[in-house]
Amino acid sequence: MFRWLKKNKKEKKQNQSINLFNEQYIRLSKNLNDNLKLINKLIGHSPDVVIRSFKMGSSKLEVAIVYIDGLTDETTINEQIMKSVMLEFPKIEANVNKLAIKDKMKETIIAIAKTRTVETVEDCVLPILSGSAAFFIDGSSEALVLSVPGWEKRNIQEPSSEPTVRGPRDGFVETLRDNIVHLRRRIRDPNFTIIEYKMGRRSKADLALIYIKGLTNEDLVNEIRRRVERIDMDMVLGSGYVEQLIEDNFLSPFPQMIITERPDKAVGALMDGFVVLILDNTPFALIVPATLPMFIQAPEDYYERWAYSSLVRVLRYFFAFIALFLPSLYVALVSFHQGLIPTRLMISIAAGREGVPFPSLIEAFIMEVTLEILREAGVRLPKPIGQAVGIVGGLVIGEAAVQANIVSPIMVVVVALTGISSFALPQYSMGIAIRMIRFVMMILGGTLGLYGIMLGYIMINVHLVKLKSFGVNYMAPFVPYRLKDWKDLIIRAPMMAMKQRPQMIKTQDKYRKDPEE
Amino acid sequence: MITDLKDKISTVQATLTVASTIIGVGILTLPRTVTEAMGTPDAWMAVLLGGMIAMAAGYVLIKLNEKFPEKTFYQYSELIVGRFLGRVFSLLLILHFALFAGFEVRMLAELVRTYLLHKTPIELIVITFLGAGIYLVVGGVNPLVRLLEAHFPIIIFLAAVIVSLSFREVELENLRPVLAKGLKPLVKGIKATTLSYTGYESMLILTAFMKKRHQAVKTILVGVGIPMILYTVIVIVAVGALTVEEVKTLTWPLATLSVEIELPGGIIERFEVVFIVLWILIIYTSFVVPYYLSGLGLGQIFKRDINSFMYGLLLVIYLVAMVPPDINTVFKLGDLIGYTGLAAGGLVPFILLGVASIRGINDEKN
Repeated sequence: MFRWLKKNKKEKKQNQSINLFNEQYIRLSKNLNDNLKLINKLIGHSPDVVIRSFKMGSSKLEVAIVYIDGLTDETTINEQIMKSVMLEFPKIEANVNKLAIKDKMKETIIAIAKTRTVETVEDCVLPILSGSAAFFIDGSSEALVLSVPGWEKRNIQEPSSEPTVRGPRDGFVETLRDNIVHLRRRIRDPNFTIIEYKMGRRSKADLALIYIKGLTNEDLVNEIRRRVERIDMDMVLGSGYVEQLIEDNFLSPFPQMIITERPDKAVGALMDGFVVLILDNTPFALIVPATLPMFIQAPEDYYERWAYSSLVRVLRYFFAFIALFLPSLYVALVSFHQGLIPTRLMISIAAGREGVPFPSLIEAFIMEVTLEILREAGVRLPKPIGQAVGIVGGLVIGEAAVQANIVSPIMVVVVALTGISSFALPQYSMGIAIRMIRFVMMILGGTLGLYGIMLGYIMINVHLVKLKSFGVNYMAPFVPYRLKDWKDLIIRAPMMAMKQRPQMIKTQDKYRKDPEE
Repeated sequence: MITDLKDKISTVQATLTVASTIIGVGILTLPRTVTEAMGTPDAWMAVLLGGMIAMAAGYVLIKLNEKFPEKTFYQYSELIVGRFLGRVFSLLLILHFALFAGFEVRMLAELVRTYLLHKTPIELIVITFLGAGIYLVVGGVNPLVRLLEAHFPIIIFLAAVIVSLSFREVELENLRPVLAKGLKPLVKGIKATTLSYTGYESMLILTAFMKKRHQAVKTILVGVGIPMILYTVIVIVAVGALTVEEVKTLTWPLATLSVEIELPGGIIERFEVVFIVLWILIIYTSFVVPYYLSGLGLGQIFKRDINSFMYGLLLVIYLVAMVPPDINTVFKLGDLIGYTGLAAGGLVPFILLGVASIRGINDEKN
């Protein structure tokens, strides 16, 4: 399956001469000017790179600071670094050893908590590009990297793709650190573990792999690490890139990991023994591995009381069924098995279809494609216009199409019900998969009737039992039967009954609470 | 992947495999075949006894398997009676499975033509169904048993619906008199049930895949027990509701039985079509298991990649399915499969067990 990835690897070996920093492992020299020249050569060609050299207080010691304007907080640089170095330094004893100055700087002068000493040019340039300032001292072959991030970022907002009635309102934003804070605030467990990767040869985006040590299955973590480390791309822009590069089966229409904007959902997954991947610059976290029933569950199921949650869950399975099968069932029944429809209903269907020139399969296709056009247009347009499109499309076209005898009224009902059902599923990505398969099912229902639909159902089932997500069966815990996990499957059992974490991912810590209770 | 015995299946999965291989198209005609052979309302006794005989035969083949725990029948038959005879026995079993798979496909096509698509060419139905089969069997044994697990609840659901909704039609009078003509018809009846229990011989191969082989006896008892109970109840309901005389004349007695059923509220008319449609899933399970096992057998005998045999078998199964010209010949093919099943799953294991015990052959010595 990953043959093409392996091919990529071979090419990588051939292309190794193409390197982004040819000088990357060069050590910094003791001469300040040499260092600055090197930095200037690497990144100085752009106007937002600030290279400022000055003298420490009244002494003759040359120092320099390099940062990128806009990525860093200028006030902090001015107040905590420049001012301290220029004005506070003279107050300290004058005759310090040049080599000891660097340490002195950290201890007494620069009032920045997150600092690091680096020795190579690469270690110096990458932090500058990520929003740190580098501080050089003449005579020292080391540089200080000072973390002074200060770019503009979005405030925390309610997740627009997954709102809930009852549940926290905060959502992930585009900054990795802020997103991790969301998780940290909810899990005060010392075993909370983050492994960070740099994704993309040129983009160098931070990717955090988060799990709970001692709880999560180590084999799972290792498998995910192996796949993440194998990613080779020049840029990794969104979590969708990561998803597509590490998933098991790229030919499957089904999504193989959960995508979420909700920190509470990510925390719930971590506590159940799943692994969360968060990429910098995207508000969508990935929960791996994922199985089919997880796409039917919503965080609200656990906030509401169990009876209501169970009811809603059963309904969601019903929605999924409607979204997948209703148009094809309608087409099959109307064109092949009219005898199955109760007589009076059949009469009204026939009356509605009178004057419609197309076979029901074509009719269904016309309406389904119209629905897809409306949906796509509504997504791409600005919000107010999008709503107008919805109204114009939904009401006017639907009504006019019936009046013009292009489609029958009952077909409009079927398509509308199908459309609403597919949007009622909590995971958008599963809705997409179902919408795609729906068209195939319609063709099968229109050509082979109910037999065709059963054939399609069998094929979907076969595909699902063959599919795995990171070694976990995609149909788990339906099959193979894991009866203990069924408490949280079609129904959601009362809280005190859910003693165990999901068996299917083989967590190290099996119990949520004292099992003897 | 020549043998892929690394794949392991659980006891539950093995049990369901046996049960869903047995339960297929046989149940749809069983009430007719048994009452036809017996002519008395005691058909349910024959079904019950037939199941017990199948359990006994299953017990024999488990005992045989226990001598060679790591191997399938295809591998150990050569060790017991020599290369030539062993291969003959293995090929007999493979032939039996291929015939079985072809029979299931043809019966499905007949059902679809009778109840769903009256004008569609039978070739198209057979080919599409074979296509759905090959998609699964190339995935190996684990996806196969997982699919059986996924489809199994439908058997229980449908049986429960049919039995509970037509139970009020059952009249005890139709089931009497008990054993009025003595035991002779019972013997004939048992013979008629053999086809319905064909499928238990899949354990000849499946034990090798099991995680807990010491539970193999339990597996076969429960695996045959589920269809046995199901068959008995269905036959009682069919005879009790429709009378012996009527059941005898019906091609698909179970479908006719479900004609009587009216769902509350009149949501669906003609429940028998719904029943047939859902039963397609069950026929699929009892088609893919013999299909997979015959391909596996060819792969293990000739020590080649089994998937190429799977593709080759498509043609064989297609021919088996298409050769009978009409439905009566199909039923004759069914009788033939009952006999090959008896030979390959009953007689051969019995002989082999005898030979192995006398010659003292088991896996440790080889």
